[in-house]
Amino acid sequence: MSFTPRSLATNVISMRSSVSYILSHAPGESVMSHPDYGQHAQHHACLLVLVKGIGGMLKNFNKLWERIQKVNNIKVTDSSGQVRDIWVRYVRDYPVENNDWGDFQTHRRLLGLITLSKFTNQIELNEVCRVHESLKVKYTNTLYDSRAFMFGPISKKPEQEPETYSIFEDDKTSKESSSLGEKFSLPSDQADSLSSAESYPHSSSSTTSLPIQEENYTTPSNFKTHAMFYSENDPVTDLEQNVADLINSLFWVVESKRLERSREKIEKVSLLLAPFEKKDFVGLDMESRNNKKRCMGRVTKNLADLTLQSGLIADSLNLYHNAAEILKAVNDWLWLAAAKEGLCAASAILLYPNLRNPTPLQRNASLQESSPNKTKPLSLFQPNIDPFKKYKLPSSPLRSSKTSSPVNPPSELTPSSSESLETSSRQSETDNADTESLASSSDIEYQSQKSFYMSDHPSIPRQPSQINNQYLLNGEEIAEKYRKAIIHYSKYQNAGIIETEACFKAARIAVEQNNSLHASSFLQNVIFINLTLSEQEKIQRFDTLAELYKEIGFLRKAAFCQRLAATRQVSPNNPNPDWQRCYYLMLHSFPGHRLSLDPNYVIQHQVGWPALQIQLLQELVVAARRMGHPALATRHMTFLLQTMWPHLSRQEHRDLAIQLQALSAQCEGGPVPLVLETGEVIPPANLTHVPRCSAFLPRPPPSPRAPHMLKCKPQQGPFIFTPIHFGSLERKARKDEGKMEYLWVEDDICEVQMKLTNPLPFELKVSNMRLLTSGVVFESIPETIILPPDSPTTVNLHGTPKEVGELQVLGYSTHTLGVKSNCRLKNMPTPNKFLPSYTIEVIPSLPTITIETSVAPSGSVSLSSLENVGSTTNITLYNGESTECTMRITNTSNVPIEYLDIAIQSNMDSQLQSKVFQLSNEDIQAQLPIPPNESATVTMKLYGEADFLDLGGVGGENLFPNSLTSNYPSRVGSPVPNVQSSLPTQSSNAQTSLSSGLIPNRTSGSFRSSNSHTTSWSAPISVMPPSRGRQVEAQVIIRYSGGSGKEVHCRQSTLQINLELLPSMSITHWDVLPAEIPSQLYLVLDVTNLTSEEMDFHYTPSKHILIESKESCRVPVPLDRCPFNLTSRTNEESNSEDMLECKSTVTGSSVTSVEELCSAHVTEHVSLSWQLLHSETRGKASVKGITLSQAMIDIVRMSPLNWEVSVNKQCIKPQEELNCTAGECLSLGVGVWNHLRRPLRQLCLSVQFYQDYNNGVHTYKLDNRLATAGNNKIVLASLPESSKAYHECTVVFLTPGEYKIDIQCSTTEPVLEDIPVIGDTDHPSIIQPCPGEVSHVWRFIPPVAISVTD
Amino acid sequence: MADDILFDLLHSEIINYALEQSKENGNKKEVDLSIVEYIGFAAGYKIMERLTREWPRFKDELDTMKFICTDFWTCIYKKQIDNLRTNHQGVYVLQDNGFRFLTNFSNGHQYLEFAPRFVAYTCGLIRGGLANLCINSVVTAEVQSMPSCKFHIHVQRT
Amino acid sequence: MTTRSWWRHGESYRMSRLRTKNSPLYIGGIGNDTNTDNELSRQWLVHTALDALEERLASNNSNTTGANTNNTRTDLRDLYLGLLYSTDTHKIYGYVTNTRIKLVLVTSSTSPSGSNIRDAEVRTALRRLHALYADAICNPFHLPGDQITSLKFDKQVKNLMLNNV
Repeated sequence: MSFTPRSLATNVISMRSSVSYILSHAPGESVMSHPDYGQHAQHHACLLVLVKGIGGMLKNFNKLWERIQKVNNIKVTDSSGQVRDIWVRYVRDYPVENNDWGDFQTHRRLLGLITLSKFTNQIELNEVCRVHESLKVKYTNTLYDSRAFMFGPISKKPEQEPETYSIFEDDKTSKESSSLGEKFSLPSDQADSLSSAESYPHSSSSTTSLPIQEENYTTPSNFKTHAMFYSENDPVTDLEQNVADLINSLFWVVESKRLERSREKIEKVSLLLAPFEKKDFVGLDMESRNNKKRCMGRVTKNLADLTLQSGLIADSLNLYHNAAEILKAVNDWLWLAAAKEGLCAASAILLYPNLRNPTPLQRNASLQESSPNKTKPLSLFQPNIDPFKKYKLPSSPLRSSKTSSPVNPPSELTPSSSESLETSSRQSETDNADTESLASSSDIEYQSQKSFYMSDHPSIPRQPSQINNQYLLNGEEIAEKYRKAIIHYSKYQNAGIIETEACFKAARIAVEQNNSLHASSFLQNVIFINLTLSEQEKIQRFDTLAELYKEIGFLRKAAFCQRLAATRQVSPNNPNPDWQRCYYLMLHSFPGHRLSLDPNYVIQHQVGWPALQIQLLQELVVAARRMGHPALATRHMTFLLQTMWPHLSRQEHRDLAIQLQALSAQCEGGPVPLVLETGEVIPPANLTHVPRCSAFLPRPPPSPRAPHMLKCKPQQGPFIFTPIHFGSLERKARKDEGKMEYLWVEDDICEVQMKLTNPLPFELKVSNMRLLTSGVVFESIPETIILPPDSPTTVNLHGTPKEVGELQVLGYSTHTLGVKSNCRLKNMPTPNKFLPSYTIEVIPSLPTITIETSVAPSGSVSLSSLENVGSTTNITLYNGESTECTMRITNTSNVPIEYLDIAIQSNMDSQLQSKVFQLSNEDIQAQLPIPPNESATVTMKLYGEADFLDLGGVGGENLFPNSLTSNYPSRVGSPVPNVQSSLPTQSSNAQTSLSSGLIPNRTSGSFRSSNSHTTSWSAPISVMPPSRGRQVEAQVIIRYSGGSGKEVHCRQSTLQINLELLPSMSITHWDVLPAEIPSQLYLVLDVTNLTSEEMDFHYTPSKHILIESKESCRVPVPLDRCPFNLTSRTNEESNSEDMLECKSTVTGSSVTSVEELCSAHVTEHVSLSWQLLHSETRGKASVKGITLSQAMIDIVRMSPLNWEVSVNKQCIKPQEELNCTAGECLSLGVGVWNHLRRPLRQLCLSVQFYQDYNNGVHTYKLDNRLATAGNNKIVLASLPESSKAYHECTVVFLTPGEYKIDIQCSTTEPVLEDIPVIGDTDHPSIIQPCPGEVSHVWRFIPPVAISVTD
Repeated sequence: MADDILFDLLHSEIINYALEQSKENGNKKEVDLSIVEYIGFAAGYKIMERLTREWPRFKDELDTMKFICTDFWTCIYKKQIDNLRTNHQGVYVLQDNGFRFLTNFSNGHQYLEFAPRFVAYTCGLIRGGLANLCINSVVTAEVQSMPSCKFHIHVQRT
Repeated sequence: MTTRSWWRHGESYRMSRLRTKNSPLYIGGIGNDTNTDNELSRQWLVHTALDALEERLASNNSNTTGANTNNTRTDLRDLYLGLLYSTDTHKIYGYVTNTRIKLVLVTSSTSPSGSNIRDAEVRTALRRLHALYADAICNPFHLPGDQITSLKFDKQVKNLMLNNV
């Protein structure tokens, strides 16, 4: 049996020796099968006492149990006057098999037994006693002494008698209770009484016969135990005393054993065996030197154990060392290991005293404070507390700071250690003092006692430090020794449990040393030890591992172990799987997996190991489900989906989602925290990934609903929310923390648009989607949507704000896969960043309307409510036709409309528009307010405004025979600036007229054909020729408001009107003719019917004419001439008539002014109307914008001079033929009235005869053809206003023929600017009337024609 | 060596580019070198992995700083830091008497006001390197007379 | 046929502030058992190994500062931390770069040739791995702190393992 030294020197990590299981034997050996993971190194020094409750359950059992536990350390002064301090370990139950290892490690022996039992009658009492006895039998080969605390109904004490039976015990207890002083003297005298051998059997073994009590409730005869009887709710004040008493007796037994052992003859010691070793040594001769040494070693080791237990730690060190030496020599690995372990344990106890669990301390203190009266019985054990008090002080710095190097304790063990301990003990004194301060005054002498007591107290540590601190191990050595021991253990399969426990002990020490690496390596080693354990034990093992790993900060390891434990809990070969425990174990392994219960936290910092986290979570879900807590299962599954989403594959997404559905089918998940029985709170998990939201944006109200500021001009109205503009708004909104720039309206549907994607490969139903808002009350309308896989769908969530104020939209809530989630924007997973919230202002509610438009004749009705926005009304009108369009505005809201404003805008210029559309604001305002569900009617007049004068429109020329046009000027005696201007040829006439003052007009109208050039100039540009149809697009903008917000905001809806104007008729040409009566004239119009129907054209009230479709005809419209007073009245700007006159000849400006007057006159006096016979549409027409040439003006206007021409005293009318015979003398009288309001000066009246050959040739050389008597040309110096000048002359025609008389009258003042010299004329001018001074000429037209016959 | 000058040129061009950008972004007069600093940071962060590969684990901060002064600097600027000073409270001053980016164009006070542009990248480099070595720091540079330059490293203890 | 699988775990820092994430940067392995539960169990191994690894670092630092150091580690300043711990099936080695990137290597504790893998072997392997990583993070498409997805890196690592088997 040799193994490679390499494995001894093996590194920290693997303590498994390469040579495994030397001496190992087939399983089935008696193996200690019940590991005790709770063991600490210091338990090596403890006496093991079993505390059991038997019989009926005691209600205050736990309380008693705690009180007993507090009595874990008593001081006994031994025979040599040395104070031993004895430690006790209480257990609730103890597998008897472990007793078998009692020889191997004595602290495994169960030495004492305490039963707490309850009985109500004799039978029960008997039963209780029986159980107690049977327990004693069970542990018989180790048990030294036992106590039975019995709680019965009886208050009187039948057990007084048994109490009194044993004197020394009785008076001992009495003394103990009575005075402390004797108490401390007591152990000594008791010691010598006890040290006598015969007293052993008495107190040690339970075979000591207690006399049977013959009271009522007599204990059965075979019940031989020191029993104490109490009534059910007796405070049991002497409990501690009795326990101490027990311990005391136990100690003496152990002490005796120790002495016994130490006195043994070293030659003839029997071989101690570990349980499984029995077979190994059969047939071996014990006499072999090797085995002798083996026996010796083992015995020494055993002695060491006892010594340790009996409080002589220092000595035990010594012994352990020796034992180790011996055993090493004989390669007795197992026991060597035990020896080493013992050495470590002893050292540890000295180094790390606070390892002796200080937990009871606080309880004790609290107990003290709580009830001072308790201090009396407690006072006995006051000293026990000191060590804790003392050790707590050094402990605190050690545990607290992990960085503090683990070697402080050894430094205490340098010879100065005793001092250090003393100081600490002094400290303890002080703080004892203050604990005592609140004790009753009765403790004063106790105080003194204590001081004495303390004085010799340090004796315990002093011994080791003085005597053999060379055997005392320091921290590192302890670890090393433990490592060796463990390696040795590991060679024995059957010592597995010992090894395991050793590992834990070593680990705990390492923890105490803050040497995590050692601790971890020890713990790691535990895993390797393969034991045949029950599931429960395995679980315990992992639990312990986990807890220790936690202590050294190996959270991951801890988590790992916890998980293993959890899986064990429910492993198939676990007879009774416990899902609950499993669940909690897993839950508590969260920190080790860097998981938090709060999904948002996990999402924000993606820490930890996704694959493992996923695994864990899935197991957790299963556990929760099997545990029968579906809500938790759902919650965790949601959590898993939510937090681990990025780390999951598509397939996993799908599967998990389906699982989640299945789970939530049992219990729906909701966004509420779940509280576990343990008080832990599982925060809600919200699914933001299913469905994924890629866009979230509150929408402004649709434009008809959108509130507008009342102030802003309606023009802006429709353009406020053009997409571009809105975009910019949006961007701005993003900048300033989601404050939206538009408004929402109270009680009005508002909309949030979001883009959702279903990341799952199957169709996803999201029901009950709502908006999460804060601020004003908001009523969200739940939506239910079906999302196809992987196609982004836009979803609009709606709701209505119920108050006025600020509204924050925080997110949305979904209900999908059976889980309700509140998806808040601020928790949205990154790729897509959202604002934490959107803030929108809500304004008081505004009315809403529907508009119903109907056009009068056609009766075409179109309804435009808010839904069908911008509904258009199409209206067709012939030019000049007029119709009515009525708009019926109905208030569909429950807010009265108190403000209504209708504006029209179109593509026409404004004044034209005002002609086409007419509506009266008054009657609108009259109808306000419009109460809810009432309606108001607004009528709008439409008129097909048009310009009927066709300028070069359709076939302007060919409508007229040229001939007609050519002789126009001749017939219309167009004003001739001077005589010679009346030229023989028309054409030339045109030229001359060119040269005359008409130049500007001419140029302006140059585009016109020559015939009616007069009409040409200044045709109204703004209107299209009437021969074509026109499209007029107009919007009726209706702005309305009401309710409390009416001063600020209004709504506006627009109504589109498409007005088509069809051509009805047009006036292609026009001219003016003088009428028979000088006060009248004829306006001659060429009217064309542009419609496709026959038209009845009325041009005077009486006269009308039928015009075929597309035909045109000429109609004369009789008119009164434009009276002068009107003229003069109208043109105020030109103050003086003559100025007007003279200007009128030359400068175009004033001419136009005059011309405007005339055309206006004409326009207003001509009233044309038409009617389409087929469809009774009727309309008007006008010659608005008609233009008149100078000549026309002269005709239109009444001339300033009135002619009165008479031949032979009889007045002649125009166009009247005169006949006379040659030679006959005619007297020609010419009268001129001046109608001006001022005198005309330098008026030159001339009469001229000429012959017209009707071929355009005139001859003025008539000298031999006629003779005139009297002046044919007179100059009137002045003709006063409205006075008459008369001139008469006589003429005799000599030869027959056709003669004509040209009567004209010209004024020569004032001197005008130079007239263009008429050089071009070849005809010499006959008359040179006041040359160069001709300013204006009036003629008597038509010229008088006389035919002379023989 | 050609590659050195190439590095210098690239560096200066990057700076010009960055300045252009900041101009375009309408930054009023003060020049925005954060982008250059960040470029430096990223570079330093990544190169550190490579440089410390063969290097034993640093004992402490000072050890790290020494590394910065020697190997790190040599690798980048073909020279070592001339002077390292510290107050042992996390402030280190690295002085380079001939800072490479400055030696090219000036010694003395000419262009002094432009010096900051040419140290921004290096500041980032240091910061990034330290960041990857788990030392969170703020690095500032000061140039009194070119071409020498001082880098102040303030370690952020959290 | 031996199953020897290697694992690499990174602990990385956000560039802005040094926040440790302790989440894997890259996980790769070779070997004939690639079924998931095995993989998971190996990840458990690595995960738990991190404790020991961090402790090792801490203790190194404390030891350098603290007085006594008869620590078993040879050179405290070595990036290679040696065997972290071993189970009866696997051995876990650790390596921490100066930039606190943790490389964890898991090998099957039994190799066909019976003899365990030599320490030096592992050390060199990890050094190479470190070199690969240093190259990998210079990949402009790699954001520090994210998982390494470069196929090139993957291939290189796999080769490295194969050659070292």
